[in-house]
Amino acid sequence: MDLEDAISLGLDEGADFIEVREERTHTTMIRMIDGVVRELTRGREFRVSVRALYKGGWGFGIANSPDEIANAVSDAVKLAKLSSRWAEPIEVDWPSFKGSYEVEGRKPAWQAPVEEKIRIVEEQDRLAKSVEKVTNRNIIMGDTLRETRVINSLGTDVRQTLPRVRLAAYIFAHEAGVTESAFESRGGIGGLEVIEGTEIAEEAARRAVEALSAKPAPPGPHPAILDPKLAGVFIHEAFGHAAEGDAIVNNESILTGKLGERVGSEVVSVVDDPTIEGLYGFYRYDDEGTESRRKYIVKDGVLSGYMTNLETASKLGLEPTGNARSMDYSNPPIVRMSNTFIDRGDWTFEEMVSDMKQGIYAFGSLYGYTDPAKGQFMFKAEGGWLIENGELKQRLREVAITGMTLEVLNNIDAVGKDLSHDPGMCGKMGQWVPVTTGAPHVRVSKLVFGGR
Amino acid sequence: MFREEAVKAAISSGAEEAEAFELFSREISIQVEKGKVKTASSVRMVGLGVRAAIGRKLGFAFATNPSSGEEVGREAAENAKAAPEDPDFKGLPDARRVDYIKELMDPKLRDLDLSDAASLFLAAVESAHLSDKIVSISGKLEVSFSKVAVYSSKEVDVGEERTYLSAYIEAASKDGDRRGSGFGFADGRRLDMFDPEKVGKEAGELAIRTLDATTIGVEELPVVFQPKAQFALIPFLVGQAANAENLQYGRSFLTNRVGDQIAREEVSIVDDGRIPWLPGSSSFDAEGVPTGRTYVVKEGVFKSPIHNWYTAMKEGVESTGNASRDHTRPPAISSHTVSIEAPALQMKKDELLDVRRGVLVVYTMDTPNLSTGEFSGMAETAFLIENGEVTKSLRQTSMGFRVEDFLKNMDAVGDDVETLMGFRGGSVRVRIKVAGPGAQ
Repeated sequence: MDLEDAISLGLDEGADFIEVREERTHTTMIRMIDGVVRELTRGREFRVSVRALYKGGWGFGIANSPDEIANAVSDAVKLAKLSSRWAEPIEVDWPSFKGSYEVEGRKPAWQAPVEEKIRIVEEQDRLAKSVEKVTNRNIIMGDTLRETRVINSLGTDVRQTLPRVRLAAYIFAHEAGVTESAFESRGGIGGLEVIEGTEIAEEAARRAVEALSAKPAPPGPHPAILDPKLAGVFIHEAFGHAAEGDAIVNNESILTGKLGERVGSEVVSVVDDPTIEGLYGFYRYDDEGTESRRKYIVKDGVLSGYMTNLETASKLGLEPTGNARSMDYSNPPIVRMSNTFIDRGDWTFEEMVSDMKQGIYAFGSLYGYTDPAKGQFMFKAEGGWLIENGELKQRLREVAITGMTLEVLNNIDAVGKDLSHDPGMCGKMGQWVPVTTGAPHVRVSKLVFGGR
Repeated sequence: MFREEAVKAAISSGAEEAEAFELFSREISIQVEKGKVKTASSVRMVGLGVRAAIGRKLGFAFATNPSSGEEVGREAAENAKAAPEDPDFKGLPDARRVDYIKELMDPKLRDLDLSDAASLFLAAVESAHLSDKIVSISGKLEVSFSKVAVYSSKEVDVGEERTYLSAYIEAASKDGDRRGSGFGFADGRRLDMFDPEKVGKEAGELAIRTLDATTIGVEELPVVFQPKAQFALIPFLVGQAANAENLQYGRSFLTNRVGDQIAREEVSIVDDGRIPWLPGSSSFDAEGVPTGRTYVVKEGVFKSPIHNWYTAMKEGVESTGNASRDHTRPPAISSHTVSIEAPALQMKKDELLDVRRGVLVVYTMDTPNLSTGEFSGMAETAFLIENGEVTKSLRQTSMGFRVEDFLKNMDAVGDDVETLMGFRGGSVRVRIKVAGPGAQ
């Protein structure tokens, strides 16, 4: 059954709205440990998912081949009818989109011989090996080609082909009974050109060795400077998740009802922009087929927008922002971030440090999470430096940093000029999607550090 | 039987050895938002992952929903031809006798239909709604039935059926400007391991109790970690720090420390893959090797890493049956169910709280640093203990300690044993440094 017939069948069976998504992916993964290829994987996946809405209840089904699409449609409509017994009605007054978009990349990774990819990984391994005291090198390269088509009963019909490439290095160093590690990665939309010429493994190796002399951070509240990686994860965790439309609609966010209110210092502006070509979180159409667009979440300290999908936009009386994303087509799309960053300010890093009497410069991001309901967040820095009288004095180990979203945004008193972006994967409700976090260096008057 | 086709195709394409991991899964789920059913979902999937070896060269290929196993087998063999040699690779696993565990598949869970699943889960949602201060309840119930099989040219031929249920409820509360949240969680391989009322009530009670919040400064205090605050900590010690790959590459703080005292002598930590009905249990691991019970820490001494076939052969020992994977990746190593055994330290849960001033950590998702063995993280859901009473909820409370100090300094283990997310144990009490923004 073709996808158009599936839409007709869903409507015939009584659905108020029906959406069919088809996805093909091709993946290659190479993992090299200490110069030895420990994993060389290639794989492919195919899925068709069907989402049906009936009187406010959603049903979701999967077809694993074109022959199963009719059954998947019937399943989805039946499940929607089941959900509707307990659901609230939803008005289907959503816009529709048509178009297609394809990124090929200058050197398409999915067509490149595996030997060429192994050479890229070997080069990173060689760079890390050249650094003294390095004891374990882990280089990972992955590329995925994702071809999708989304059609729905409102007339949406979009096709998109996006190749993603990512190269990562996780390096360990050892000296005198102390082992330390550091992680670095590059990635984006495009071909092998995205990762060529990078020296991420050497950078990770250098930081791992530098960490061997690190001490635990002093626990408690301190003024802090966050590097672009950490500030990017901070804004993603501390603020981005709280501005997602589903958390707003469900009254599970401290930002519910605060549109137009001041939520941070006037030096802070926050942007979510899936349209920046080349970045890891880029897409032209989201997984509901909505055309993506750049939007300010915070403009000069004022909450100026939420990220939405079709349903939450309608419920909030806003335009859909194209933030519906799914990990793969065996999962329904939910509201997610894309390339989310703090916009640039006018400070230099050197000015921030020289202006600080006592504090911590924290850098590198390991992970972070948030509870939008309480407004509490945590992000883990790879390391830091103790600052005394405007100078970096003592290298610090990995440390957890905690805060309250609305307090911390108000406590940002300086934003740098040096905006940069970092690829990563963001998890929500069991679904992981590629994103970038980004920021310049930022200075915060008080954050709580979990040292010992 | 994609797996047999795949192995045959890999061998006929030049592989000397081949192995196929095949997974069929059927999953139903109910997602609730704002107290109402949002989405009902039904998903079926077939996954096939194939390893092919030529001498010391190893290739891997996978497909989700393949139309046949042949193409995947051929691709694995082609990848093996392209792969450089791995000097430590000593062949795919040999066949071992597997004693099958009967208590892994519950027909009631396998046959649960979506309507009954929705009614069951909505009972949990209802139980969370303890007062008007609960402004939103969300969550998800997932129920799966799977058939897992491993087949190889080295006569591995094992397969079994498993069921699994996981349920979580999140409740958000609001009272004027004060906000709180709470959650409840359950998992298991049997339907009656999910008590909807208990899971919902736990979420609702936590959401109400966290409305009344305060902060503390930097203090060294007795801290009680409830079981949900340990599943990112104790299983990490086994699954990551005592993971043979991490030890062999020198990544873990436990490298070269087998035989060292790393916990107080009353404490043992065991990994067990054969406890009936637990999610961490299976008759065989992801390479077809029988699962077992491994004392990782015995009477305070680091006794044994956990292995898959590759790391075991590298050391010349037997695999502990801890290979894990989905069909898209070659096997890694992970723990099954990790338990703390410390009968000499056991006391009643209430006795654990009998301190003048302390902290009760209900939940943290942070893990220690693998290479330094240091923990720096947030007490995500925590309360102040004052004169033996649990009082206000704590915000922005961080904790920092060395894992070894944690294991050596724990002075009590509670009788409130819970099993969840691959961990089984009661609350533990230990004196550590906590840090907040300052007392309110």
